Amino acid sequence: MQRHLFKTLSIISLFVYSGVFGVKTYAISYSCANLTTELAAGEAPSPLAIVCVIARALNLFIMVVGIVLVAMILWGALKLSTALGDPKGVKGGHDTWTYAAIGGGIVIGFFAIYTILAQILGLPAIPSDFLLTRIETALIGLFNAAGITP
Amino acid sequence: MFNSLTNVINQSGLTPNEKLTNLNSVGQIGAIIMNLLISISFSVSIIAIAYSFIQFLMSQGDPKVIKVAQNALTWSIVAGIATLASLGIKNVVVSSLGVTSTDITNATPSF
Repeated sequence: MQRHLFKTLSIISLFVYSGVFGVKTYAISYSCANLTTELAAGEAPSPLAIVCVIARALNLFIMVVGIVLVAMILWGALKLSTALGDPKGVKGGHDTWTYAAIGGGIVIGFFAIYTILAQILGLPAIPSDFLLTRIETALIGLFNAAGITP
Repeated sequence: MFNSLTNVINQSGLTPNEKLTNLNSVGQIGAIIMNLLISISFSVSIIAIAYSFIQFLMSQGDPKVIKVAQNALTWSIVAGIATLASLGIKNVVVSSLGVTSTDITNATPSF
């Protein structure tokens, strides 16, 4: 039981530690000013506006990851409370916490691991609009090839 | 403690007439879900702590029952602490993911 307690407390302290020392913001920032102006003027949006939709969908997923992680931690706490000393119930609560921590760690830790590796190997850091600027460039290239002015 | 749903809905910025019909952002829905779970989880852990004390009282010295009660007490306290810690974890995780919605970051439940 003490091993379980140690494991649980180390998972909690991992999150506290990463919060205090490793806060890293990586929501995707992308300017949708053109789309907003076009819509306000009642014009049809440019085909490039699809990048705005992708940016908003990705930001929504990032927000949902945080919500689901906290919800799973609380669900695990609820399972532990309602176990009332039953070893099976306690194990269920533990598993919920463990897999929530693994899932959250993968999502939050990806950029931290990349940053550490990039510093060691001398690679450039990922800008927050890394993916979207490449999608935009690809779309512009596609439209140019097809002779459409975006 | 047990009127947590009213408190959570009040804190989400909705007027009583709107209730749950006017939830128009993921932030608001997320804030309600998380704060509701925090309130429920903390309340249940307090009830579980009380129940484990009742188990102690009813054990009549039986080592097996005492062990079960001890187990229940330990994990109920851990669950209660984790629930309180999740108030901080919520802000840390959500802000490290770059979420700026004040519906999520500022909302706190009242017990």
